[in-house]
Amino acid sequence: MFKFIPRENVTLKFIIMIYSIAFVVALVIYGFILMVAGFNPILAYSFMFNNVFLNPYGFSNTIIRSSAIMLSALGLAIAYKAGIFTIGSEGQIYVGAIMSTWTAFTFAFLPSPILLILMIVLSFIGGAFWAFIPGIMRALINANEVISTLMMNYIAILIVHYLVYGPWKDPKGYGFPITPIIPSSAMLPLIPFTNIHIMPIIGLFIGIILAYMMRYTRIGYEIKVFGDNPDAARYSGISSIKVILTVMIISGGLAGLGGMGEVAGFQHRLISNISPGYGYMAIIVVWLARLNPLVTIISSILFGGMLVGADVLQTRFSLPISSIYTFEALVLMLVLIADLFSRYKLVR
Amino acid sequence: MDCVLEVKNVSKRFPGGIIANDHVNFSLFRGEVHALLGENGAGKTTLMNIIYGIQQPDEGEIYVRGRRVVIKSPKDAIRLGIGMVHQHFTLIPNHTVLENIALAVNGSSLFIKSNVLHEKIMRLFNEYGLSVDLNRKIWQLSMGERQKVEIIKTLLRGASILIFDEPTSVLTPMETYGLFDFMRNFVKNGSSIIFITHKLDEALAVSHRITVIRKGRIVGTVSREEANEQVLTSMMFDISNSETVNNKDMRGLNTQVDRVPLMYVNNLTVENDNGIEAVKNVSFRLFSGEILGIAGITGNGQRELAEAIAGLRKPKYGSIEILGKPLNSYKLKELRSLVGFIPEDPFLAVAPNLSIAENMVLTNLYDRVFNINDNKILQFAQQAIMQFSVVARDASIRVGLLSGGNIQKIIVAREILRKPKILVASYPTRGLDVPTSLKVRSMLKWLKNNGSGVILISEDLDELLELSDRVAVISKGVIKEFVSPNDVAKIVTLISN
Repeated sequence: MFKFIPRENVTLKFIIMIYSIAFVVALVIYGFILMVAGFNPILAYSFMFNNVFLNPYGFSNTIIRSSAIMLSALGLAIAYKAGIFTIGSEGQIYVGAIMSTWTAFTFAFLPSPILLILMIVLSFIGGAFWAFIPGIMRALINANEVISTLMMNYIAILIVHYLVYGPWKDPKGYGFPITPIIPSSAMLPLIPFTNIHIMPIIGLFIGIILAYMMRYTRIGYEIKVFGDNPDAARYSGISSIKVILTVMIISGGLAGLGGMGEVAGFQHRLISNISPGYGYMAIIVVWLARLNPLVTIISSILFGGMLVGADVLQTRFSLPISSIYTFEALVLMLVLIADLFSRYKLVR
Repeated sequence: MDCVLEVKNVSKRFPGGIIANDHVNFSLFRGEVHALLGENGAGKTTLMNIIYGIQQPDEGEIYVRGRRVVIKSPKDAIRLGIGMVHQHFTLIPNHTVLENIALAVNGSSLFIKSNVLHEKIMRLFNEYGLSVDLNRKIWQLSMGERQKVEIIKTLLRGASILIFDEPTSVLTPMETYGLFDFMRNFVKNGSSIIFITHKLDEALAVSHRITVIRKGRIVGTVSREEANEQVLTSMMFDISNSETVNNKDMRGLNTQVDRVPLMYVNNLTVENDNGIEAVKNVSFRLFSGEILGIAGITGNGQRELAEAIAGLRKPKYGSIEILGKPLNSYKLKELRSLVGFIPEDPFLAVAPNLSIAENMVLTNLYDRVFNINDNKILQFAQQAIMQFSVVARDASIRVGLLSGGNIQKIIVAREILRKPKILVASYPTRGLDVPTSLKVRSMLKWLKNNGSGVILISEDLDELLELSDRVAVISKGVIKEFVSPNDVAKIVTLISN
């Protein structure tokens, strides 16, 4: 009979190796799927890689597409550390997008920097509020946050649909479910010499702040203890309500900020599918990064690249988008398997 | 007598040098209830796990009905007619009683032949006077009813040797009587029962023979006729070397310290997890510079009392006052800085995936600006590692990688070294090696001489007698009397009554 026994002294090198193997295995399996579908996988992969990371236009696209994933994933890194398994980032992105669109039109008269700051603050509050509801339900009556955050996602997405098909619909939009373009004062500035908006840079700073928080502050410590052993947290007097609400507000607020980036930096309007599942991809990203905020940034960029790669494959090889979802699912599955093997070894 | 089960020279060691069973010999006759009596951690459960195939012995032999057997898994045990009623039930809460039974009986068959099964169960009900509504869901049942379901499961598998692991710990007194009736009935027609317990009166109530195990060794087996509470207590607790009762000098010291009352406990009643009153109307005071020992057999309300004082369990009635303020006027964090707590279960008090250093500040991080790389914290952790001889390379090791004994050392070190005003220490030396135990004892004295008050709950009578200034004997949740630690005979009598 086989048994799993815990590994001791896992080195960083080993972890990198095992995840690389997982990634390669995912590529190989997906390669077979491509082959069955009648494509040459080597050609497809090399074309994809060239247009995602090597070509400057492709690379800036990669960063732009990783923005909302990165912000959501950073929040999830903290929530999952506390053992709070929210999957509500998707809905919180939508709420953040609603808030920033509303702010952009309502306070259009404000000077650009003030307007942008107001948009950032209100989209953060919106996302945080959306996460606060399932958070308080979990904290007080132990309602399962996986279910409640998923439900909140549907609500947020449907509210956006209502807005863009109804009251906020662009009269000159030829019937598309989109709002008019936001005023230019509400658009995020670009990083000099690129066409990348500054939200990914904000994400980078937030990542550093969160890494610092988890390592050096009391609340970071309390989050880790609570996530590791809720009994020990209670024993030492750490308030479960405080920890749960803190991580939910941080994760919700950051996802809301991600939604702001999509509106103010990328689409420049609210559209019905303002996030094509960034909030769900963030879940994969954050597990790939093993909940480390700084590694999360790298793995979000990797996923942004995958999205651009998908676009490339779609346009160049006319692959269906669902085949890209297959690839994502393969990566997640193999990451989870790699995670198991990085913690345990199989012995007879 | 016809011997149905015999264990010869069985030993089992665990990593970290703990010897759970040391050349154990044990026999079970046809038609008897045989109690295996011992304190928690004495090795009872390990022995039963070996008989039931959950664990493998390092050495020794097992004979069932005269034939030597190797029991590799519970499946083997069931085939040999051995059944076990676990302390924690193995039932599926959302399934009905019948479904749970069916799962256990014909686990491999696709369909439940419910009418056949139904008939079989009814026959058992009649035979032993058991009855449970078969169509109710497990979660709707009381603990006693759930236990009946467990029993039915093992009987339907054809068990003629039943092992009960602490079966009464979850039962109300009425249910306990019912269980004992079943036990007497069951052995009448030639079956046998091993009854694991740490409660003397229960062992005496149903058993034909009683075997006492202490620290992994069999102390002896006595028949019901030879046994009484005195005999069993002296077997369970090693009180042969009464010379340990000598530390008058140490005890004398603290009388010079001003005896300020730190805590008042008034008419305290506390329920256990099953809503049964485990502590009943207990009152006492704790002074500074005092160690108050709580003596008694484990499971008599010590855990609930300790948790209530530590602020982790709400009292049903009564009050606790700490440093002049009612306990519930403190935030739990403030309370923890005043009241140190070494819990019975060490995993309540550590975060296993955090480092030793991080765990060292679990209960005292609020009184400093927190930075885990602070030299002060590292030094504190390093000091604890040294003083309590924790086997670890350095303070950055994850606590979860340490052995049970070393985890216990971490908790004890943290709770003592941070010098709380009051310390509730439940079994502080359990699982520790002898030198560290001695160190812990001297550190408890040091804490008391620094003006703290200590409540020491222990199963080790030596330890209680050596350290305590007063000993409160607790039995069935009631403090029977406060005794001077010099009066060993009286303490033993009170414990066993």
